[in-house]
Amino acid sequence: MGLKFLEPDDKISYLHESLTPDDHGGLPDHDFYQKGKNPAILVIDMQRAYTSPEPKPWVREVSPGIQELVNQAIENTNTLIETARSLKVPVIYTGTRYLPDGSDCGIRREKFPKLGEYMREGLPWVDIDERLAPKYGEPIIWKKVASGFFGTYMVPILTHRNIDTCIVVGTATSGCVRAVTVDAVSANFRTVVAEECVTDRNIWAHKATLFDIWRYIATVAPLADITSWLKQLKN
Amino acid sequence: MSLAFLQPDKKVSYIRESLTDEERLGTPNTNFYQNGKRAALIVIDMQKGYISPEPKPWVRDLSPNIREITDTMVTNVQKLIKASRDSRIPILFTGDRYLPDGSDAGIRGEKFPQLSEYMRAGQKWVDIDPRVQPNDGEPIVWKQASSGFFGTHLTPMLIDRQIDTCILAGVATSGCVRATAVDAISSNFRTVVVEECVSDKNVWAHKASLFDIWRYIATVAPLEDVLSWLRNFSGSTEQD
Repeated sequence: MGLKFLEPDDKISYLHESLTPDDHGGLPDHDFYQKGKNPAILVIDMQRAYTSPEPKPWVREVSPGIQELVNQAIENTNTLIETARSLKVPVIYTGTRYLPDGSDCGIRREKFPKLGEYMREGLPWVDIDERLAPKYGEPIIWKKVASGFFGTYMVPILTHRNIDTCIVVGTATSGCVRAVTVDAVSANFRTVVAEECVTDRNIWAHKATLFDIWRYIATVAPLADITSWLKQLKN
Repeated sequence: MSLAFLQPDKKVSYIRESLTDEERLGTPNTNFYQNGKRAALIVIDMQKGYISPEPKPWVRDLSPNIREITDTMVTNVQKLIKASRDSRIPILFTGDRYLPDGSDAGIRGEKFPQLSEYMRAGQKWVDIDPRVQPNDGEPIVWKQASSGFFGTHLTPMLIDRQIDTCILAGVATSGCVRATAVDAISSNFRTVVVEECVSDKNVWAHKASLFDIWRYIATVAPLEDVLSWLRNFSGSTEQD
């Protein structure tokens, strides 16, 4: 198996095209998400703390040019969200947020003191990036750990909307996106990550996680495939 | 079994005393909560929408004297909160709260449209009643369903505080208190409901739930017993 997909310009979504017949033997079905009838978009942690270009008191860019990757992910996510809204596909947001006194941070505050300090209700950093603000009726699920499913009302919210498929976008690929993806598929929702709509502060971690999701967690698909599937499904 | 405990001034906590010897043989251990070493007080849904004396656009009092019953309960919860703070027992509050647009109200919003309309973030009804205001560092666990455990971060927060025992107070006995008691004990926290510190809009439902909690869900104890137990073991709950 070549490692060409580690290049910034190459996509994990197209990895199977470069495989030899031998490589192909054990490959999973990458289109299983298209068996779903009622998808929802999960927009993960697109909060000012993680995506806005303004200087933050604690975040350092790990990979050069990372803000560009973030901006592209936001633009691509908007394309997906607008398609979803026009087709009446539900859009659900998650965000990391602690109580104003930080009394619900727990162990995570010990590992990431700044996170527990800045990601509190009432501080500007927890707001969803204004470039993709939720519309009225699109819930934000506030969470305290990586997965949007852990200790939250996510499953009942999906059940109430009869959702069978989760399309996951947002940040960070190797952190909260990955955790949400594991829990979504573990809860028996067909799950796909839209490759151009996720981002990470570390490009290598981004690629490694996309590979894992593609290979054994859920699946990864290009944005264009997902939008054309949505249009076909709902028209 | 005598049904005297159904009288308003009789307590379910003392039901055992009125049992015959034969009946008493099959009763559970009602003091098992005192085996706990690190207790937390969980104050359930003491929100303006449920307990404040001001007129509410949707709540009707179902039992006579419910105002008086509620106010007595609030006074008792204040005593329990003070004793817990004195003994450095962690206190956690729960409250019902939906998003400002109600988009997370779900089926419960279909059954109780007014609940999902008034109990939204930003409306005064979701505030904790000022008579039992949380101190800084005492978290409020916001929930959408009856149980404080369902779809919330309550379990990790109890683990973070190394809690092994939950003392429950608040409203309503037959609703959120009961649901929280079931989930607390299902999660293997020793669980006790403090009889004078819970209330319900319906006195009969209140008694029926207390009986169920006492008999097979968790246990029910009088405030006096819980207060003296807290005084005894306060030393072991000091926070590091």
